Amino acid sequence: MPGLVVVASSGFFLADARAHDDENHVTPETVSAATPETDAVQEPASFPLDIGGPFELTDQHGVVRNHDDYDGRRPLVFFGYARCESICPVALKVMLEAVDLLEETGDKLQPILITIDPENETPAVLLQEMPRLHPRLIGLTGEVAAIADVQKLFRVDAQLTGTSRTGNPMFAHGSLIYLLGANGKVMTLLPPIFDSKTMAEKLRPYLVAETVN
Amino acid sequence: MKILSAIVLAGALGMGLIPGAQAATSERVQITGEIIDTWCYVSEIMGGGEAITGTAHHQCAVWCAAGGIPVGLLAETGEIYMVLKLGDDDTSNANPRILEIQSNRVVVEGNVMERDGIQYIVIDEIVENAGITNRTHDDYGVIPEFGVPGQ
Repeated sequence: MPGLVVVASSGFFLADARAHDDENHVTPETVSAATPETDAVQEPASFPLDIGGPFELTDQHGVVRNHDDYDGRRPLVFFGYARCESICPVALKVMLEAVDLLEETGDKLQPILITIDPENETPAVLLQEMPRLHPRLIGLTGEVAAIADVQKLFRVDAQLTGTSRTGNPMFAHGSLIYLLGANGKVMTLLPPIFDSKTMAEKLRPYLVAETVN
Repeated sequence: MKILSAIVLAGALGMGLIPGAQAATSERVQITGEIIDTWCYVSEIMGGGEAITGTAHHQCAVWCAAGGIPVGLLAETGEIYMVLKLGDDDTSNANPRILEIQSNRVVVEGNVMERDGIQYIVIDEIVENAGITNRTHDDYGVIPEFGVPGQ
């Protein structure tokens, strides 16, 4: 089966730490090199699962924003909460560094945090927290029902699990990062397990395709 | 192991037969492997390889999954599949059902798709579950050490 050899040597699988054949051993380092080809650029299709859709929420300045309201910048969305003390800061750090890396090459994204704690994270709270994370990060919040609707669109589960030592609520929640296309549909999603450079490499082809088209 | 169709798809991608980032179709598969903590395993933040599987990393893996880190299925052939969905649940992220099978050796049926060099799986059914069989703590202890209760 020739395809097997091609697969193993092209790094299209994430990792193969158990492989004993050195020639076919694919490590996380080769994951970094496993990017989509950019030679034949065309408009990428949406992610092959029905995820995402149009939404309208309120940003940290009290301005109503929708899924496509960012001066031509593609929204890159993370669901979390600004006062998180565990996974959100780590995932957001990588995501925001990837945004900055892409900005250096003219590939413009709009980083967005949609809070999964709308009861506590009002526009006023987000206005305090967003600049601490990134100067261009937009925080979106809304009524509890509105946030729940958006979570459902993006299949993001979230549960309150307790209170931190500092008194902040703690949530367990989905931590995927979503690149949005037309009508808020997900072009691709990325788990927050890569470094920022790898994440930027995986996002760039979508932005290049947009520029060409 | 019926991953042949997925291999063919990925092979076509590797050879450039399907252009750009849009290449993604779904293939029906049955895969045997272990549910793992993808963050620690892929990032190698706590070292790499076998020590980040099985009993040695179970506690941390449960914590990561509880926090919403996507779990993966490490197939016995070495490929990693990011689990997008389990059964009828809407999501696999921070899904309590995932916590119950973390580090378990399972046989699953579902659909695999590839995107941006990442293999994703939507699991329809866990056909077999042998539980936690990979006793890596015999060789590696508990990784990380703060995963030992009371530490």
